[in-house]
Amino acid sequence: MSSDRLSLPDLPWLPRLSADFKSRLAQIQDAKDLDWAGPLASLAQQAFGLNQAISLSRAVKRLAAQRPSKSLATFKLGIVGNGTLDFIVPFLEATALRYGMALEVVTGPFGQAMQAALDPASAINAAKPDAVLLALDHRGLPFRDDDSGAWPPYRADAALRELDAMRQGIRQHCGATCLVQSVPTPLAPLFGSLDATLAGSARAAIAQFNATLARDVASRADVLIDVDALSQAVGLDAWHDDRDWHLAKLPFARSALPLYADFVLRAIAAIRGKARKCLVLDLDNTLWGGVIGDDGLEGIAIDEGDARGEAHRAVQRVALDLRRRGIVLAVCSKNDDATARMPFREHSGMLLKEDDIAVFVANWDDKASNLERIAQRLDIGLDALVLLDDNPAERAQVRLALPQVAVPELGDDPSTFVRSLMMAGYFESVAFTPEDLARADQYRGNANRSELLEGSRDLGQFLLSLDMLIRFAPFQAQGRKRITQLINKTNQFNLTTRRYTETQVAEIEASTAHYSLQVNLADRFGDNGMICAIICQRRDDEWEIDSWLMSCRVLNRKVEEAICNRIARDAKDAGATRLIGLYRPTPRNNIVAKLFEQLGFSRSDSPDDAQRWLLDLPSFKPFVLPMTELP
Amino acid sequence: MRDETRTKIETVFREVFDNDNLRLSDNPSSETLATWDSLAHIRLVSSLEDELALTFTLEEIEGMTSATKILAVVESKV
Repeated sequence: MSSDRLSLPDLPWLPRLSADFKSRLAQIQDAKDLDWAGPLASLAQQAFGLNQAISLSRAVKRLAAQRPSKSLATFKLGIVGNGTLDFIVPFLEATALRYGMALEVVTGPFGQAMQAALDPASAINAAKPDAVLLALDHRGLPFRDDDSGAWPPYRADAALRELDAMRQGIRQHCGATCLVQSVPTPLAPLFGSLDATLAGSARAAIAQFNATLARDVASRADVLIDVDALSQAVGLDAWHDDRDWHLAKLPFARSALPLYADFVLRAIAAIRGKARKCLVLDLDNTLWGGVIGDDGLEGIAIDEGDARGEAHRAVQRVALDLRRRGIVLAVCSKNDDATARMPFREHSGMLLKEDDIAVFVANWDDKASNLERIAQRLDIGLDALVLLDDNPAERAQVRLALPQVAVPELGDDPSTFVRSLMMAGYFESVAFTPEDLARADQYRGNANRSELLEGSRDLGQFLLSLDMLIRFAPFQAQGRKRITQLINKTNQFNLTTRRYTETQVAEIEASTAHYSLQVNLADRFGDNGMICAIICQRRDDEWEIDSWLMSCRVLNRKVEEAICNRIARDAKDAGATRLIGLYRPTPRNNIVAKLFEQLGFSRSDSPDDAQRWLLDLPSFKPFVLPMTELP
Repeated sequence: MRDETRTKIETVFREVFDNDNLRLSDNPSSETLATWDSLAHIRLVSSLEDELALTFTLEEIEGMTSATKILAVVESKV
């Protein structure tokens, strides 16, 4: 379906609502022996309206109560707002399904934002949510000064102070991360252009508020939801609906609800490590205009000065921008390999080079199988992939076969591609770390390492040739964002899959009841950055490994053994006599099922879904390692 | 009013109140329908606006408290 007539609040990158939505929803609810989470999540991949959102949110609550599903990640969200939340909440709950999550929402009484934050016994604080969304706008914070009736009517400082007090209250009373919204500018000016220059105008005061908020939000481990930017993207005339406000106290137009809900959920999904990691690009009519196999080098549209060519160049430019921030690029094309590579090698108009592509797959197999191959080669999940493909049939096939892969709808005109891809928020992130910056290169480094492995017959010799340098340190403020990211993103090499927010990580850092370890690994191909995080509960005679998660990039390099040596040594030095390893199996972490056995732990009497493994420290002999350890 | 418009309105009622047996001829109202609360009212009005491509004024919306009254308001606008 062509989507170029849709506007932003219609979520043009999503397939349109299907006519059988209602009957499919009924079917899912009636099928008693089915895991409903997957089908419900794929139903939520469509663009739906308020009535469908309410049906979905009712369905997920009913089903979760009757037959809990393990395949949805749960997240408890408190919401404090100055408008009515009754429309926003079902939209958030329904949209959460789109991100593979089950959202449990706790709200406070209407118009009592401060009480909800500052009262330790308020419903929100008492519920101990994972995060609290502060959905406040210019009417919910003390921007206006009407007492004196004198100029200026607007100021930022009181609003900032009040928001600050709320954030501190929530932090203190329930420890939750705050999702803090920036404030959209009201539509109507007072003077006109002059407003921007007068500190006391609504426009200037709110601009100052938003700028201050953006500066301080990261340093306090809260997360910014840039609703100001969202309202600008929609357009203030469409964003603000005075009738919806007077009638229902809806803080923005009803028509923006689907987009707002998706926008908030992107951030929540990013907190839970669900952002996508890899952009897979189709070639013909996606990266360039035309078909290289038919039109040849001279026939494809990719040059500056040609409208069609420029539109495709813009797609390449944005792919390069994504790569620059750490998104991995791959190619998946129905083509002969040599033909597909020809423009990359020989066409001067190409911005993307072969080196930018981590995995290049061009053959005649179906796209779904090729996408599985790409995920495997990169060692990431299918749910980390986004496929950009101009061909509606390919998109439909991939959506059906691999519902985990995100596949944006595209219009018939290539000039709409960049918007669809970038406004969908697939690569939303709540932090940007040096590791992100280096990631795209690391994946290429990995490919080089596998080549070297193929060339050297002996694994031990290969590992020695890597000149690995492993560095250990306890958790510290500097690496906190990356640690939180690892804790929330790692699904495969993760023994317990326990998720912690940045605030909780900071607490663990400071706690004497915990032992923490962050591990960095460098080798002759480059610095892998922080690749592992460990949290242990310390008791006098025994340490329990609460969390152990590692990047799969460094598997099979004896890093696990090095880490085991280190924990055992530190525990022993602290007077402990044994280590307890926990393993909680999930559908994703089979890769570590044998880890403790491999490290010489023995299974103690424990159920299969919460295994306990023991290591006797006095008799433990450290492993010999092919790497240098620091410090 | 054309039958088509009437059918559209009835479909909106059924969807908003989640009841496939609702009939406009029974004149459901905020008095007789327990699920017709202030939020359902907004949903009803906005769904009607979307479906019929109309815009109601605040005053009209306040008065649209039964099927009969809604039909009258719509009648006056089409």
